[in-house]
Amino acid sequence: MKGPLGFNAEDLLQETLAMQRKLMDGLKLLPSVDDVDYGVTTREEVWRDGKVTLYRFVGTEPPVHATPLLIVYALVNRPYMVDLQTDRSLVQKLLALGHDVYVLDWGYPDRSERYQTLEDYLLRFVDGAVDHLQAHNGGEPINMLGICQGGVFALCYAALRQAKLANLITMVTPVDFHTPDNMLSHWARQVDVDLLVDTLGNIPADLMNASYLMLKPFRLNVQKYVGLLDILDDKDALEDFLRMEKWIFDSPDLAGEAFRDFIKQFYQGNGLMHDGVRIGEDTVDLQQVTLPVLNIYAEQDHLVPPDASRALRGRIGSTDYTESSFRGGHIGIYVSGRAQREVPVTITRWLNERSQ
Amino acid sequence: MTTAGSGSGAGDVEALARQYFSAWGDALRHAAAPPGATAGPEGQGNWQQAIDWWAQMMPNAASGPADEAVHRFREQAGGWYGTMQQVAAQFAGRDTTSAEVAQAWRTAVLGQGDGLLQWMLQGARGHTQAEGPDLLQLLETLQRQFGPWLQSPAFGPGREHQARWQALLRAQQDYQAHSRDYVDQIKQALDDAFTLFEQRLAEHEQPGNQLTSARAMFDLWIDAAEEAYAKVALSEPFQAVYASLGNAQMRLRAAAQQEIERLTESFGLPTRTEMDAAHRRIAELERLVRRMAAGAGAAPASAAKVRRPAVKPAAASKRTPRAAKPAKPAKPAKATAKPTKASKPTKPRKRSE
Repeated sequence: MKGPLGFNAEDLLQETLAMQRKLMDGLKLLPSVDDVDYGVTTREEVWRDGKVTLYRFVGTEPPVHATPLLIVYALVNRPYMVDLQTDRSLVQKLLALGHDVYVLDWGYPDRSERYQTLEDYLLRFVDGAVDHLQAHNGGEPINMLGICQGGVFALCYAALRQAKLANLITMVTPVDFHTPDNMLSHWARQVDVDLLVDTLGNIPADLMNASYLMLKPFRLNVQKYVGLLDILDDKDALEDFLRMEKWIFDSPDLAGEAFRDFIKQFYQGNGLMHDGVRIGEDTVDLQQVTLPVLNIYAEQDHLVPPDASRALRGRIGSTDYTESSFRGGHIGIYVSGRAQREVPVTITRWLNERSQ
Repeated sequence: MTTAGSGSGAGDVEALARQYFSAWGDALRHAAAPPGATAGPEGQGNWQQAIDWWAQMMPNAASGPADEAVHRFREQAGGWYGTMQQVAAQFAGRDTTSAEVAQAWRTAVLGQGDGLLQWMLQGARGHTQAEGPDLLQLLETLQRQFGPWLQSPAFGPGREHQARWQALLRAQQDYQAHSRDYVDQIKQALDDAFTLFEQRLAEHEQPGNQLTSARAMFDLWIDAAEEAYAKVALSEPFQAVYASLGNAQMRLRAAAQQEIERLTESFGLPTRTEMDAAHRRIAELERLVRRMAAGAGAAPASAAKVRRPAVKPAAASKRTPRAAKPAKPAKPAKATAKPTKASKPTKPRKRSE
């Protein structure tokens, strides 16, 4: 046969019959898949302020490292992504490596939290949690791991309250929001965010999810679901798929004023690149960040392009700056097999070198 | 989810499914018999019908995320993938060219109007919530019923009301215009994707490098579509159109909300503006207290160091670090076996757009 297609009618028939078999299997298997569970590690609440809760993860062994490691996650999704399931848990790996791991859970803001600003998130919630951990760590500084938007928070916090931190790790964290391949930032540039927040109050999760799906509409809305065909006969794979779906769409609404702050200062103003970020009455000066920093980025990240993260190099005052690239995407860096093998070990090795 | 198999046992459902798929397989074998024969439109119809039927056969037990996944699978596998199978069947077993295949794909997709793009366009058209009120439809009805009154100059005792309603409808028309601009951008991306698809197909014309399944054709199309879309979505015109659409949507929504507020106020109900004002004052007061407390070196009262244990603490939470200064595990409030629903804060009901 000449041309780009190398199959005949019999091949197509066999392909269709194979899919039929998958559909048959799915008919039996799907109903047996319950609402998926997520979050595997036992945790205990140790501090709370409003809806914001600080959890401590409980490992099977006591931690080896005395310094608490606080994970600060983004506002746009739920933090259980770092502890999704047994074989996909950054938290479990960190616990196994002897860390004392905590996570700040932002909860689901409602209309009464609409007026919470970035100042509230950083200097009330993050600072409150850090104070609590310090108080239980003999007043010693703690380690912070900021992820995605949480990494931006962590950087700003480090600039404002550096003395409270020993080491800072940023993961898939945007610094330069105006790299040419940043589609989300490209779209946000001309949006009238004042009108948006004044009209909506809090920003609905559905609106955010629709925006994320439109970053790769054919892959995320079409191909992904056609791909279900491949796993209709595999209960474990189906549950993995549904667990990920749960996480993707289990998104909190965003507090309006914090959203306004974030879009204006970072997405539109690119404030970290121009020393133009203000948190309450303070100006964020990244040159004040002189503590050791490990910056981990993902090479195939479509949400936070590598260049957006790598822009941190040279912008902070620290002379102890390490960059680590991960072969994968924005989600893969938490849940892929490679991430489980590489990321916790990289973090541990880097922290160990600085605790000696 | 309603099911055709309700009341039937799992075995019945399976038997029915086998019967259905067997009949479909026979039909396909018949179509495949003469070399080069095409399944024709009915081939694709069979595929879509099969997916629809399959989804309906899914017993009620499939709920939650599984139900949603089945719904999306039904939409996308039945639509895009089914259409690709139809095109693949047209060319199976015979010589062809990339241009021919790409043109057939273009015709098949465009022949369904906006059908295959509904999921991309419905947001832009304001139909964002399946279960929520359709604001756009409501305003369109209003415009039809009160058109002349709303177009005429406003005067008399009802002048202010009429002027507001006129402004609301202007916002609606403005929104529709921006929506059309957005749809044009998406269609431009689609057009570029067809061109790119042909180029990508041409890369597979060499023997040994040919596509060997409809699924491979489908994946190639997805790659081409994403690449073409990204180019458009990262362009300056798209940025302007995207922002204009969002801004127009917010102006329309703000105008509609204003009318709703007037209505609720007239019934003596508290309005959103009043609630917002109260929430703002509380947030400002909390901020003030925090700043004062920080200045005085004390933690604000709003932060609870630890909640009293509601249950006997788990043994695991009593551990202390093995080395150096212990990270004192604070009096554990409660050790949850798993941070699942029980410990999850209540999520507010999602609002309609």
